[in-house]
Amino acid sequence: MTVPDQDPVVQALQRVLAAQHAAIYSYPVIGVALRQPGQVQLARQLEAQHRHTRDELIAQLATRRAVPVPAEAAYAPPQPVTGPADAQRWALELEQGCADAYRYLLVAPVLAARAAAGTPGAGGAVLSAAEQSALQRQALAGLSGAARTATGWRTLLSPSAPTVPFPGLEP
Amino acid sequence: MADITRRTLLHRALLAAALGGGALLGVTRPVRHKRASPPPPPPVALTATLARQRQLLASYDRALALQRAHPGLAGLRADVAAHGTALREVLQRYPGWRLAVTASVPRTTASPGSTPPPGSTGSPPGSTPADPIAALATMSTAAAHATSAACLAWPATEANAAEVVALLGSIAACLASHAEVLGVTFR
Repeated sequence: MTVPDQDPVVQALQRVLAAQHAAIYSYPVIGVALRQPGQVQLARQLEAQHRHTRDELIAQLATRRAVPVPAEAAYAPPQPVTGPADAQRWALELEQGCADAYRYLLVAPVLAARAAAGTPGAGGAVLSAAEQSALQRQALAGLSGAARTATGWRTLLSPSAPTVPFPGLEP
Repeated sequence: MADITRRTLLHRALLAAALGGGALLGVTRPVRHKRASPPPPPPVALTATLARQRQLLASYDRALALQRAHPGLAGLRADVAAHGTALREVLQRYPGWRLAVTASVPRTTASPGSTPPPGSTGSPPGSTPADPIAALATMSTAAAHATSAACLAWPATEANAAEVVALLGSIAACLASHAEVLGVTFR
């Protein structure tokens, strides 16, 4: 019997969910500040994607008998949004936050295996190989998706340096 | 002539018996010298990822020699170079790798006729592809897939699993974004 709140997998899923909440709140505000119709459309699509991911994560947490973290009342941008560039920077920060959360999810099965091996029942759920693989596939897809979306926003902000070497591992 | 007491005689007899017994043991029992066993080789998943990284880096160098006009290409190459540095740092944790490095066994370029690592594609070293950017995009996609597979296959109970899984996942995500940049932005 494990305590869901101490389970590394649950903690990682909660972290990903918190990143989705932030994105769902922020993208409509970002969309208002963007001027290019294509970028406004992209912000709408990304909001819808994050909503879909949020719903899946809530269901996933429910199967683990964990209470999903609620959304905060408001999310502040990294700096006041006075134009499209500020909005793009905010979007970039959101996607970097998602990449970071997915990286935690990628490592969570390893931490769960360690916890289960060390102190049984003290926070590490024993995952089956299939479950571990499914979680890591989900994390890799999320990490890759967030990295690609972040690259898209970075291309607008700094076209000569659109990528980072280690998405999800940025300081 | 000095008298030999019975006690002296007994001592000498015991000493002779002990020496004789020791000599007999030395002759009959094989002497086993302790041999230093070589450390296990570093994980193939990591060395293969490093080999792919070297091939990709070499392709970037060839592309840059041809197309210096692309301002973003040098940035992508820097990312790939950083992957190599990080992979070598992780490999330092494996004694087999340290031994191989000190013996100068690994080479920075693939030897002629050697099998390319799984997931590597593109033109052979030395040749110039018709479209170097397209070749880089293809290589990046293949490397991203192969690195993802290595990440998923890494055993959770391995000593360095947390660091290696995070690194391989991050490199795979970076290479996927490279493929997109090369396929869209540079077209």
